[in-house]
Amino acid sequence: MASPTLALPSAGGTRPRRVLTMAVLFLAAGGGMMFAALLGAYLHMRRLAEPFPPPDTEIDQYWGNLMVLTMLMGSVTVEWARSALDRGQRKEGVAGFAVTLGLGLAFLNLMSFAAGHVEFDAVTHPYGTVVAALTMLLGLVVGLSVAFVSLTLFRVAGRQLLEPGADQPRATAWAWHFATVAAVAVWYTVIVLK
Amino acid sequence: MTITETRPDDVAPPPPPTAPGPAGSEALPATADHKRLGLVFLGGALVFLVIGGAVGMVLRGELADEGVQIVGGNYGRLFSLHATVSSMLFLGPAFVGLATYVVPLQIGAGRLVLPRLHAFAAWLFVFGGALLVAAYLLGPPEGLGIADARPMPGGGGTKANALAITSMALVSIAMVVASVSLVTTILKLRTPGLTLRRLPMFSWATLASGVATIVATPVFLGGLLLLFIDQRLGGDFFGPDNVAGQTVWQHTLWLFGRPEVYLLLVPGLGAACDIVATHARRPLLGLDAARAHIALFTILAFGSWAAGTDVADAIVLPTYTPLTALVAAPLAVLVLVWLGTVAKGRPRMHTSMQFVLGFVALSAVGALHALVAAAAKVDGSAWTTGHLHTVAFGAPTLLLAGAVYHWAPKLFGRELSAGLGRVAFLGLFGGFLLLGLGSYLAGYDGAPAHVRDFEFSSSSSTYGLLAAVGGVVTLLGALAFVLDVARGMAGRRTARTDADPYGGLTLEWATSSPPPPQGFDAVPEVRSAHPLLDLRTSSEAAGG
Repeated sequence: MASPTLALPSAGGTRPRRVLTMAVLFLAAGGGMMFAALLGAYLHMRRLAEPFPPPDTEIDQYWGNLMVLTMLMGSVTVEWARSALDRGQRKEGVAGFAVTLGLGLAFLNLMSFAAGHVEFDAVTHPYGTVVAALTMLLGLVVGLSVAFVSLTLFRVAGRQLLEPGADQPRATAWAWHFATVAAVAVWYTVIVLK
Repeated sequence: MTITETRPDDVAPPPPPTAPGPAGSEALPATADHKRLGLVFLGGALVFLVIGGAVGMVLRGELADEGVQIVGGNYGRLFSLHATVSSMLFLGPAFVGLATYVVPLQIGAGRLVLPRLHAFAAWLFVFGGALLVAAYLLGPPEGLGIADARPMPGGGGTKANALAITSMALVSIAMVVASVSLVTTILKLRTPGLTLRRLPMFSWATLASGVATIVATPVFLGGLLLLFIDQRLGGDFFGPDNVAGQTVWQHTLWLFGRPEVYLLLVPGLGAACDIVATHARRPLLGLDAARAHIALFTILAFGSWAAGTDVADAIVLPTYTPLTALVAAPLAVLVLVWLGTVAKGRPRMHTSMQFVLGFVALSAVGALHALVAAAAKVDGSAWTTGHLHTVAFGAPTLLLAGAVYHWAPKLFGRELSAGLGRVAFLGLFGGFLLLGLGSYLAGYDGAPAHVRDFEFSSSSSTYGLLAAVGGVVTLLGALAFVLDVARGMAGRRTARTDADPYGGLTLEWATSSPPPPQGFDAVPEVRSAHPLLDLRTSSEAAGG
């Protein structure tokens, strides 16, 4: 039998790696289930609540496409920022996160603008309720990602998180990617599939 | 043989990287100490237990006999309060509180990996829970309770509805965030050598139930978001004529509520494994089998969602469809593991062991009645009330109480009172048994479930009285338990007891009782699932 010894380093003595990344991935899994529930509700209503969407509904495809492209561009720039930090290029990291922040704010602005111009309301048809729920949730997720990007940007600008493979930039990138995937799923369901 | 080694002088232990200040010394609202946060969860849950239990007793009084009028037209409102508070604000949060306290010690970490996030979850739970109770004081959020398969129709919600939806969302978010924190802590902060296969059973069960909570609860949140929009904007998504909307609500509530009935039991099963092994004074017989069956139980709990339209109205009510009955199989294996461990060990009848025995007995009664119910049609009858209180609520409550008595030296710095423990056990076990039997028998007699007034037969009247007596006894047991815990919490600052009063097997018994702010001064090296037993064995061998 192995002979046990009194150990020396307590578990608190070493810094665990990728903690924030793991927490973000678990939260994303939960968020994914929430989106799945709402998308499931949308598809269920689409099958049973005829006509679906109601005939007077008009959602401009142009704005939807632009919003998804904005998020996809943000995914590229956030990865650029993260990999720049891994290579020790702080200025590029700051630039990458700053551009991502701008894209996130642009997305929220677009969403707010588009919401004011869609031709449906949440009262008259279940379509309105479920699309409003999806839009609100997506706005919340993107808003949280924007807040996370801002925090990381400020810390990097303040010469923190500069060690290669730092946890927070990686977690920020994952949070953004999750928001992008959610935006694509909502866009495909509501705009493409209808 | 050398069994210890001293810490090299030139290697100073680095401070815990995320521990914000000296844990335990800051004011409670600002604390990030896992021990105090655990007690916030546990204390809050026990307060909500008393509220839910008191309301339940009033409802039982109403059903004690034909013509009894206590709450008048408020029966539905109080029933919804009782069911929602008891299921959402007591068992789940209480086990989260216990896990918040015990798991970091069991894994040799002595802290949470994301303490501020966990503190946010703890206070969000307290705030959300208080709001939920306030919603029922404000008005009747009828149909919104977790016990009802029919959501409130749209067309202009009341303030009580909005408050109830918001508070349920806050509590759900708190549970998800706390689960993320616990799961990440278990996966990232285990002391060297503590592989997943060596994880103590309570930590393993916390990991399993945490992952399940992260997956299941957001679905419910999706349903709440739809309901909130429908209510606030006056839509008809969930209107009585919208069958599709009704189905959406059922499924979003089901995916949370159906597994939740069984998932509430998972941490208790893990705790029972640790209790049995500790007080049988030997490692659990078939440890890997027990681990596998806790995981299997968690997975099978999700099968109950697909139980079919037979249970369309039964969100948190246990039913006897084959898919839901499957969860009994891993439970039976676990009971066999416990019995085998006790048979091979030198069992000590600690108060916590009495609660585990009570759990086994109560589960056996529930299983017997499930078999009877499969033959006799008891749909929609008081049988479901009996099964709910016996199996889904009573049995896990016994395990929770057992776990608190077991880990009391760590939680409160002293063992809880054996006398009050016995009263609590007799009250909770006997009360749930009587309440269950009364309801089961009333169900076989044709009495409906959750109906304020109905025509009692002479036997139904007797059964109703039996259940009402059971309700009173349960509440007395719960009060004895809460009183004992409150005394423990009150004396916690000064109490000190042996680090390892039971001869424990897992790491939490390697630190003082209660543990120091940093959790551990030194963590024993882990080379098996029972490191403290290894250490004792080596010491004895070294001592000749």
